[in-house]
Amino acid sequence: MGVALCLLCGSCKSTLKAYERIYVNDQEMQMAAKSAKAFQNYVYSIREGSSRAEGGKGNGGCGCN
Amino acid sequence: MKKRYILAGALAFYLSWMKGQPEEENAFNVNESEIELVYNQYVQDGDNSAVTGGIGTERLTVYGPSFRFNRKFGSNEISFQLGSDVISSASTDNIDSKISSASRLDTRTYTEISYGKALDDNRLFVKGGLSTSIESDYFSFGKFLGVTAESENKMSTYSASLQIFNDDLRWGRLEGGLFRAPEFLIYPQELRGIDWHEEYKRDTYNLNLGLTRILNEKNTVGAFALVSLQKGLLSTPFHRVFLENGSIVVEQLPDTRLKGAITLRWNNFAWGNIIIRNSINNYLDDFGIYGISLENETAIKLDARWTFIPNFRYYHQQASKYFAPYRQSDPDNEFYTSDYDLSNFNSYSLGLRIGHIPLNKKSGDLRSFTLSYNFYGRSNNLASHTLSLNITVQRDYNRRR
Repeated sequence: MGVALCLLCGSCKSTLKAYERIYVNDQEMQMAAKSAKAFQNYVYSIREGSSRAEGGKGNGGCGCN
Repeated sequence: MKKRYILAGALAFYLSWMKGQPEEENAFNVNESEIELVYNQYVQDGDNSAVTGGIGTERLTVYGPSFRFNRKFGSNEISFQLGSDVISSASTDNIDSKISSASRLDTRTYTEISYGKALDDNRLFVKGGLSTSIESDYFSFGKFLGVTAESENKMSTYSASLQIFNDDLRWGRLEGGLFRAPEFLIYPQELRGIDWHEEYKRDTYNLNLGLTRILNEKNTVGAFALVSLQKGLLSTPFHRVFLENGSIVVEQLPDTRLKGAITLRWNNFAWGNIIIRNSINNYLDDFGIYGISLENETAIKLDARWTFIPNFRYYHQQASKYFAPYRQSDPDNEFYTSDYDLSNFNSYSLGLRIGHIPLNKKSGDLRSFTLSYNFYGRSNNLASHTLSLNITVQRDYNRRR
């Protein structure tokens, strides 16, 4: 999958210099979960039978109706 | 001429001396606080309430304020969160026959505290914490410990965390005085007097693993995995199930559940002001539930202050082998549920987030605010609307010296 993504993205690099990181360092490019999405992800976890990776269950509670 | 050479030489010597300063002197120079205020409003409706056996209203409103405080000083980070969901639910009022109002109110209050430490020249981060959640018929106590490591070339990160939740499903903590001792599991009124479940505890163990990789200047990918084991009372005590033979019973599910999920993500800085984020999540458990979701967010930066983020999510779920609709559960089965959250369905979610970063001096410590709206629709007639407001205030103590 990594090779396929490299082909899709054009090239893969083993390292980036500081001045080449202006785009990947952008706040919107970060992989960390956005706090503004936290509640919506919670809705998915209680209204669907599945869980997602990147965090698992939150603060407990059954969230039942 | 001689003076120019001396000046150039002195300047060159000074610059090389500056470059030789050890980086450790700047690595842990952080000294800032951040406060995030959040308000969520959630409204849903549907026709398949599990409280009434898979039929009936699922009308529910949640008013959800929360507060988070984050303090970074040197290589340390402390975080505290407190929130409360006030839930007005029409179907919960149908647990007993005393329909005294249009809907019943319940409150879930939750809190979390954590401590994190950066090590090894900021390439290793360790974090641990505790959490609690309490409502009238549910108490949860959680602990977690996680570590994130960055590769030497800063192109990859590796993460692992373990969460453990010890829950108690008995009712009574918030009735007649705060933190009263819990008494019993709450069953539908007409089914009381029988011990449908001996167990009242639920334990959850989550192992989360993650890997991210910067491919090039404009592309980052990530792979995340979850393995989860649940043990104890996994049914909801006040869910009714209407069997084929006409009798009414309490929901029965196995006392263990093993889950697995994999999420793949790709973030692409497509053009000068557009960032595209894609993810796919696959899920499988031993209840027979299979789920797959496809999600896209497109961040459009109008300028340095405003960002619009439309988002879309599609989800397909294959039902649990224990699920059957109203009056279709086989009485000879050991396990049965009519909870439509565990049924076959497709869902889609459409939303828009608007983010603003004030850049003028008059905004003081206000760092950002985000307003978002999301519509969620399920093919089995459940629909919901979510409106959220996030305000972040940040103070950098180093700049104020």
